[in-house]
Amino acid sequence: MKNKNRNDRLGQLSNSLFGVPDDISHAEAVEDLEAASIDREELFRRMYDKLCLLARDYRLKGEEPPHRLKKALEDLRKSVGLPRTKEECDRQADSTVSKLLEAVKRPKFGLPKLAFSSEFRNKTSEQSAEDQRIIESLEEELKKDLEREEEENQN
Amino acid sequence: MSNTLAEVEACELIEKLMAHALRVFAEYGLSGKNAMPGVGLSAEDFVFDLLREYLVGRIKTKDLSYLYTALRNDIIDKLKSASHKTTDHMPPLPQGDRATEKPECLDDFPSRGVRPDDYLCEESYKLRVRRSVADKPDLRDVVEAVFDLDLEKPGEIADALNTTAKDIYARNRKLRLRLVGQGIAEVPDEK
Repeated sequence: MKNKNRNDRLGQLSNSLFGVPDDISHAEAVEDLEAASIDREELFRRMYDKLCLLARDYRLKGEEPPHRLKKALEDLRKSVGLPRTKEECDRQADSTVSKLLEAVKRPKFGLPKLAFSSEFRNKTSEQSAEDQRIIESLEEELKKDLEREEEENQN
Repeated sequence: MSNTLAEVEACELIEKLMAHALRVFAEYGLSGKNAMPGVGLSAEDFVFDLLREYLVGRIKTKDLSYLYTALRNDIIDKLKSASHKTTDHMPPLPQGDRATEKPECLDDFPSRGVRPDDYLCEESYKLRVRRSVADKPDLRDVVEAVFDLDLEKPGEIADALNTTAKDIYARNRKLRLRLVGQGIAEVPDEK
């Protein structure tokens, strides 16, 4: 090892202490990234954006991007679920907005128990027995509707 | 585990190169999230630059190990360049009449930080690694076997420590996680 230059010597020490890079598996590499608090999805997105610009430079010059570059873009697109076309992009945006709206509409801890006001219902002087019966049946119907909606939201 | 680049998908390649870049950055006292002082390149920038060269065919290798070596060398080369860019050469002692002039000399700038090229020095490197594992006997044993007994291979280190090569691999992994998670730079310099 005496004849090795300083970089090689430090590289050898590094391999003996921290492992030979070739022996480090994909899972271990992921673990290292997590230890360093690296957001992998964000990393892929940033790399994808930069590689897109690189591919665009080729196309602007009227050249086809190199095969490896196209393959890498395809791999990254699949991994981070990026759209290929404008239509795909629109569909993904619609779906995201729908999911967001559903989440906002959905009550987090269920609806509070509703109680109907008895103020008008009990004014017997202004309504007939038939009116009273209709109000009560509507009340029952409304309650059932609300319960069904709540169940649907929870599922 | 495949080390032939044709069999490695882009995401896996990026993750492996990024993990390696973070490790090299950490070994030389740099945080993987910050740019290298004097150069302005982050670990991710080094990975992208290398990846670009490979993807456009300017690097024609088929082996991942070549890219690991190239990445390490790129970072070290820039670190050397950074040490030049961030160093002002000044006379060690004041020159001229201090009463009338205000010359700049080293005495006026006591540096408390670690010079980038200091990390490239083997003795400094060893000192920092030793300090960073001082509180972990199992890791300290490996470090001492490598530094003091000049052992390189996991089998040799395992024999010296009366354990198995598998255990040494596990300790290498712990050392690596500690390195990228905490970094050597966090260790206070007592010099």
